[in-house]
Amino acid sequence: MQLKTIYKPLLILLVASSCAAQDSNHKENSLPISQETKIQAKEEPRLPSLQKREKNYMRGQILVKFRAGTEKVTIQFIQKKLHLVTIRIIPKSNVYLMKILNGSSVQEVRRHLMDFSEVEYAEPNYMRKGYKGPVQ
Amino acid sequence: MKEKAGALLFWGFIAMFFLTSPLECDAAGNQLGKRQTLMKIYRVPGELLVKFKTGISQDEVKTSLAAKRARVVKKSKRSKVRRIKLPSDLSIDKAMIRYLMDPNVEYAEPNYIRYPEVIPNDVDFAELWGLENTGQVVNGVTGTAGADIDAPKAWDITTGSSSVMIAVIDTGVARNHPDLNLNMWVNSAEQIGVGGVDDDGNGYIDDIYGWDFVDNDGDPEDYYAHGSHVAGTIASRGDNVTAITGVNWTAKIMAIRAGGVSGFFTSTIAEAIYYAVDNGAKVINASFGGPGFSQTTYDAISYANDHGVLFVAAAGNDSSDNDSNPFYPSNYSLPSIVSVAATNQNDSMASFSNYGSTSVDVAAPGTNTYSTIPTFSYGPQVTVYSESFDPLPNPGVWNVSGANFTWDFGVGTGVGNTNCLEDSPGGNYLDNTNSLMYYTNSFNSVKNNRYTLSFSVQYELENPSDLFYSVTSPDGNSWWSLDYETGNSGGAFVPRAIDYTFMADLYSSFYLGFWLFSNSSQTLDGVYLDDLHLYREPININSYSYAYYQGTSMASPHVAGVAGLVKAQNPNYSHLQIRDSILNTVDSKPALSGKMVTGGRVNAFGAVTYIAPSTGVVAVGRYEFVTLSWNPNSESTITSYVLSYGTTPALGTVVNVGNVTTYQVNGLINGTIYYFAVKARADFPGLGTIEGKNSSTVTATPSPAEKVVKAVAQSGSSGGGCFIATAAYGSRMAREVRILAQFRDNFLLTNAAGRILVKYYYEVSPPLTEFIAKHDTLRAVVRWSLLPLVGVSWLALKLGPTATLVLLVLVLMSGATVAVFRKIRPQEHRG
Repeated sequence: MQLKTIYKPLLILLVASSCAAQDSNHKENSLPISQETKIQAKEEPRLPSLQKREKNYMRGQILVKFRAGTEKVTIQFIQKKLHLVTIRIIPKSNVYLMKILNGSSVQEVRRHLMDFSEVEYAEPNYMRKGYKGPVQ
Repeated sequence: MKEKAGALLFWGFIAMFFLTSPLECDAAGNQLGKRQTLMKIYRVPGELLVKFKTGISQDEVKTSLAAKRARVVKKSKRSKVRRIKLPSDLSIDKAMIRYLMDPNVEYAEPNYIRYPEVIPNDVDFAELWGLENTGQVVNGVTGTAGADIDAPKAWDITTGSSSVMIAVIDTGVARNHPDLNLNMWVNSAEQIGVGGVDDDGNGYIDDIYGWDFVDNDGDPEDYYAHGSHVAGTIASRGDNVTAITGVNWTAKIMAIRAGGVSGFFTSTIAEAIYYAVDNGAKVINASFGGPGFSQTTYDAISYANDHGVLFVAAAGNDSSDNDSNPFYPSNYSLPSIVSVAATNQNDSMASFSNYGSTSVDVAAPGTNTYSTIPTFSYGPQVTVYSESFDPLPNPGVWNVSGANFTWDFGVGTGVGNTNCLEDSPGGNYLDNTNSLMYYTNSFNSVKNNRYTLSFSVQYELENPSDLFYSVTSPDGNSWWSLDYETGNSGGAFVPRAIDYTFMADLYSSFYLGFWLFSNSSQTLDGVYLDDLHLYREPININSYSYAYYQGTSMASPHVAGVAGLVKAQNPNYSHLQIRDSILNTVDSKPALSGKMVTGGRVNAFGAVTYIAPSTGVVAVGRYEFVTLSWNPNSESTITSYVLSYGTTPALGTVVNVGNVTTYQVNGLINGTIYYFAVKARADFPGLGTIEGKNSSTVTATPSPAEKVVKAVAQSGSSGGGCFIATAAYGSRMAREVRILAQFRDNFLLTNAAGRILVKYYYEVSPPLTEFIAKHDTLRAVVRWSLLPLVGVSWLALKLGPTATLVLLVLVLMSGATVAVFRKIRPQEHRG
């Protein structure tokens, strides 16, 4: 148990980095898929990646502020083009909270959004933590 | 006719003496010493308590008191102690010596004033070391006396106000907690309004108790306890014989839920800030944070700043330097943000607290903090998914992906020889396995539910290199580890339970799976999984209690609470003035020096008694005087202003000018630079007088005669200097003209009635002046007519107004006596 406690963070990091390394080594190879088993592998099996859970921002969401005067049809066009859908509009700020529908990363979508002159800024939906740590 | 006019003018001037003298006496009578920040009166002025020895007769007592010119105010029948009123010219200290030297006196002592320090009757008050630390043991930790925010002393001034609204942007607030419910904000417009209608038109329907930006409804209940704990420190109801009190006994807490188990988001935080500002909060507490600059949040806090709302933020709990590792929102560079680190019970920096010499403002108690929480019960339990692998699931329900995997269903190898899920049926797992087994379908999240995945697992893995993970994913693409196993389970199935609540809190749906990783050194039997159950249980608030938490999350509400007290004490204070009152009155601590901007821990008493330096001081030099003006202070307790001035920045002369914002200093030397500074004084009932710090120093130089023209012109007249006298005597520099000008400046322009007289004079005199100047005879007549006035003015300037007035009365009485005597004498002759 003590070993587990001590090595847990290290191991998680180790695995994450090892997985990443193995991923890159095997990207060229197709995976052997058992035909006899009842467990179904996907037709185009992907190499999964085990990650440390991203705690800094919400995966699959992005905040977008459009410049004042941007027409609704323009916003809809951008959404469609980048596979986004509006979850909420933050009042008074003209900031849209959008969901990324196609699995693209937040950073990738952000880069594409910033190509539009109508976008003032786009940023991750950051996560903040409240803390109620154990007493001494 | 001329005689009558002259007499009127004469008596007008005499009347001015009466009008001007009180101000001068007041200024002279309130000479102050060096600047004092606190002048608390501890002894009743002019009084002593004296006890004469037993056996001393009443006559002896009377003789003794008479010799000292004392008067008995009261005598205690029980103690025989006399309360003595001293003669006005005898100080308490000198009187003490005289009485103590009297052989008939047993003792004499000042009539001390004792001030109460209000302690609420909340039964667990001793747990609140952050409010008052007497060195008591709290939760097993011994504190240091005085390592607190001096709340009881602050409560002597104010215990808060229900008109001050403090928004708690957090995980919600348990609004029915018995120590919170009376201080919760209720949106009365919505409460008495129509259900399903936005009665107050603020964009939120039925936001009676605030708003929940996580679930987007009007129920900002707290399912995590963090927000309730924070709210209790700010304003748990005080003096209600119930457990604890907040920094404010009374305030209004606006509950806004912007986060839960999983944390807070930029989107919910920003919306919460806009809501708090638009619905009347004057202070926002933000006990959350993290890395990553967000423009959306910055803009929202800017909005709060623009609308006069103070934003108090926790500095973070990573023991790191925020100067180099920015922590938001506390690190945003906005004037309305107060960034708060945490201290422990001994006034040292809490071990977990972030710091920053430029990015963190102040510290506050943050360890072992006792406050309000809801307690939870869970259920009834709902089975979301259950899989025993008996019978084996349909194809496609479970999927596998990865490299070198051997996952399959095992028959008769599960719990009780049932079927199970194995990584390597009939053998060992492979080298370099990197494979995922996951349930194909996602699970829809139900908010405010506790999710638990339970299963039985038997495993034999190379320790510590080969690992079996429980994993989850929001989208089926990115997988995160939740827990892991390595080594072996002793050849038996062991139960495991994994909390999935955060996934349900974060995402509308989620996936579950398992991951096996091995290296190339050794392979073993592997993993057997059986009896999977995913449960959810609604989280119910079961009851209300109290708990010790620690963090900068607990320090921040101490400061937000102090901000509430300051606002209650000074309703006209802006958010930046509240901030100044907090940051300028900290208790400096060596352990905090260099760790934050102020280098100190917040002090509530200092903050509520803070008197800001006066601002907007303008000094304009005139002829032998300087006029000063300044902005009124915003504190509700201001009683007067103190002007300090001198010919050096040391400001040697100090004058209490009363509760005015303009003042004129007379008798100054033309051509000399004078330095001036103003500070405000406030009286606190039962405590005494407190002075603020001096304003920044300004200078002015009294100017030669032509400046008087400008001064009078600015005072509202249309004329110039002493025109008639100047015309009569031929020059402004004539001695008589200067005497009259000085008289005007020193005695007439210093009061309203005098200024009206001067103004009237300058309106009517210019045409007369021209006429007089053209006729030499008339000039001579005017000079002769002005002589009594010049004489009286000269006397007033030399002797002062009172002595001059007495002298004049005597002269008049003598004149009247002579006149009467002469009137009688002829009658006697006739008789």
